[in-house]
Amino acid sequence: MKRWAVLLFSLFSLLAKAQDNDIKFEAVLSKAKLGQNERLRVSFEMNKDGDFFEAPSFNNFEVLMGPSQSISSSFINGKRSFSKSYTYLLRPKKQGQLIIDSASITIDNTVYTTDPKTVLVTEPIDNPNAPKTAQDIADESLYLVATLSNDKPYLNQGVLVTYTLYFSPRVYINNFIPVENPTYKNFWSQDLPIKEYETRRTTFRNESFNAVDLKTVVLYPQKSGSLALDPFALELYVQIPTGRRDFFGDPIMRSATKTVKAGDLSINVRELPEEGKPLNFSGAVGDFELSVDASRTNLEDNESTQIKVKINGKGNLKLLSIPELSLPSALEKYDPEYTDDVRVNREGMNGSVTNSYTVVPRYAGIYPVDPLEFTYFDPNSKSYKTLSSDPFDLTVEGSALLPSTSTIAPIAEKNTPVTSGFKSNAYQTSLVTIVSSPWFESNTYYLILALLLILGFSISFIINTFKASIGTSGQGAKKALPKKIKALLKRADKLAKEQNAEFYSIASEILFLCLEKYSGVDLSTASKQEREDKLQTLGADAHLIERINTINDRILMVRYSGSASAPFEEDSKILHNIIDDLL
Amino acid sequence: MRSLTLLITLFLSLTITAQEAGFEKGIVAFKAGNKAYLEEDYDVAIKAYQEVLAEGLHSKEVYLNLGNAYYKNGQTASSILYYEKGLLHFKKDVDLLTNLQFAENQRIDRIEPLPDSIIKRVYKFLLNLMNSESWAVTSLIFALLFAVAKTIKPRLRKIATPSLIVALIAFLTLLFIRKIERSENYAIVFEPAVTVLSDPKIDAPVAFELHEGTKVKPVESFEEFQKIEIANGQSGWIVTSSIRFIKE
Repeated sequence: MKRWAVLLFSLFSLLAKAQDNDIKFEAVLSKAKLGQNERLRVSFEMNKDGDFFEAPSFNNFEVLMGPSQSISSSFINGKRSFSKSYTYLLRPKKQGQLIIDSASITIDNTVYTTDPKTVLVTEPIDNPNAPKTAQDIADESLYLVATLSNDKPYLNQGVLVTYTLYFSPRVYINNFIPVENPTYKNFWSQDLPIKEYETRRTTFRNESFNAVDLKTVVLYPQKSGSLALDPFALELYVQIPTGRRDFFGDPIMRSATKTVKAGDLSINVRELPEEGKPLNFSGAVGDFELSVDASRTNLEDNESTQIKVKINGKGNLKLLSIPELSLPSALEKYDPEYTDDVRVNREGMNGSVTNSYTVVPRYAGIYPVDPLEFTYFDPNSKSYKTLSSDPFDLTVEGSALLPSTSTIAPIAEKNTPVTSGFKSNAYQTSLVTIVSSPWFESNTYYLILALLLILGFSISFIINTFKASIGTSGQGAKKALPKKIKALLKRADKLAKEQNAEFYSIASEILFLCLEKYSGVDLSTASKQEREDKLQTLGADAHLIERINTINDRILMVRYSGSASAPFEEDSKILHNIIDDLL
Repeated sequence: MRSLTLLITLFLSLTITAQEAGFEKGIVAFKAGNKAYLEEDYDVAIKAYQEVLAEGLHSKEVYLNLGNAYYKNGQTASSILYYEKGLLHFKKDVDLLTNLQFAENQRIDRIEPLPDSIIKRVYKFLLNLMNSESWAVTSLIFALLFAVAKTIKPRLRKIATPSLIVALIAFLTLLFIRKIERSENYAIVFEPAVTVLSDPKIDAPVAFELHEGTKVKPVESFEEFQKIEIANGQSGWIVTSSIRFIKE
């Protein structure tokens, strides 16, 4: 029994303790902001009765009424609720932020105090006690606000602008019409259409509000510095409850129109840092990847291949310039075809842009496609990054080779067989010393050439002088004769061909001139015997003498008996022989 | 007197041995280069072939292999340079010419050459008849013929004057060819891309741009700049370090 009593007692005390913990004592103001000629109601509320209530001093306020006590007590579902309040009606004495100090009360031997409250007192208002008109309510319950995702973006970095309409749950929006649409000068902009307006509950200016995003725009600043955004204005048609009800109990609504404006703000666009800015930077800002691919890398000449330069990632894709592909001139490259696959969402542009080059090789060979470089600015790490594509080779099979432009070997175009492919290494060689100038450039060559020419020129001169120094005067005279003989001989040959008898008289003349030259004596009048003797003494052989006699006989024969059957050809030959032997 | 002869003999034999050692070294380096080339170790191959040239030795195979190694290694400008160097010494070599075309195919610049001047056409015509060495030999043969005709065989006197004329023509042709050849020193662009300026100063306006492997003709130089002319007649100033001469 005693045990039960202890248990019961402890249970009660626990309950009492639990009730202690729930004790509330607070100050409630009727409004946080009021005109100087308005009144403020302050009530200090508690949920358990207490003693020794001490009101604050209410400096700066005039107490119009109070304290008035009110107590209410009720049982709901077996749960007791109690409330007691001390209410004062105050009038502010001056404007500004005024403080209502703490009040205190003793409940269950514990002293509780309220938090001090501040209240803003403004200029006196016209009609402090008149009920608010629909327009007034519309004014204070509709706001349009523009927010920037980033108010200090870099040049070409995407910024999202969101226009949000805040409206109090008291008003109903029938319709809205945009009356002023911003143009966004100095920006590349894209509207993101909102398919469905979603209302959400938020707190705005310390009050509960509904918010709805009406318009979102992605902007890419194209200029640095402080750029102004044009305002966005909406005309709203709203329904506001009057607080009265009609005959059927439905609230009576009054309509009002209100124009709200937002976005009259400026964005501070930062210039990209100069530090570490590469020369080939083309203005890409974001996060990208670069790839260069060929549809095929092995092909025949005159077949075509597609080389795609692709940049994908996030950033100002539509605004950047794709690096140009440079290829060996022997490949025919057509202007690139530009395609983009860019989606714009709240984070900005993402997707890819591609330049597709059609390349037709005209000549066989292995062509390296050099790595392409692409530099962009990464706003996250605030640094420039350079991407480099992988190099690859285009292998072109075929017979046609580009005509060489080598001027060292001007014969190239003519003599080189164009059917040959790339010549592989030679594995046998015979080395020779490198000679900077060829042998025909040396002095030896010039010297040898000069010596030979000098020798050629001077030798006849040397021989002549040599001969002149040892030779006789006769030999000098002898040299003069052949010219005459030569002329006569020429005439004789001609006559012989014509079978003219005159040949023999000329032959006779030649013969005796030659004999005179040979012996130094005129033998034309000498007898046959005398002539033979003379020739023999000069060392002429018998054969020669025989021939001289033959021709002489013939001359005499023709002179006396005519040239009817004379053998001109034979005689002409004999005459020539004689002359050759004599001279 | 005997000691002097001995000394000379010794000296001669020493120089000959030294020369032979050089040849030996050259062949070894050439073979090492070939081996590295087959193993696709082109950097080593290039080094080995360069060693042969450094020994003061060459052959068209060395230039061919060296050019090929550069070509396979992706160094287009160097491969063009060495094919051209080879053609300088071994004219009309089909292998060098063929591979030069392959290397030139990789160039980025395509320059339409101007038509040849009259002098150039005459030069090409003469060189097409015979190369300069043959012209030199011709001049010597006909000079000899002239001398012989005048001296030994009076019966050949008739051909003396024509021989003299031929010898002189051959000699003058040779001088003409050599004069043009000497003036034709070309250079190869070694930078991947290089701007040609209109004046020899850094901030001068850019006249045009050239790329690796393009052949240019140096005209004159000023400080660190070189005035160059390209095949289509355009000219401008380029930083000398960005080009390399075929003839050193």
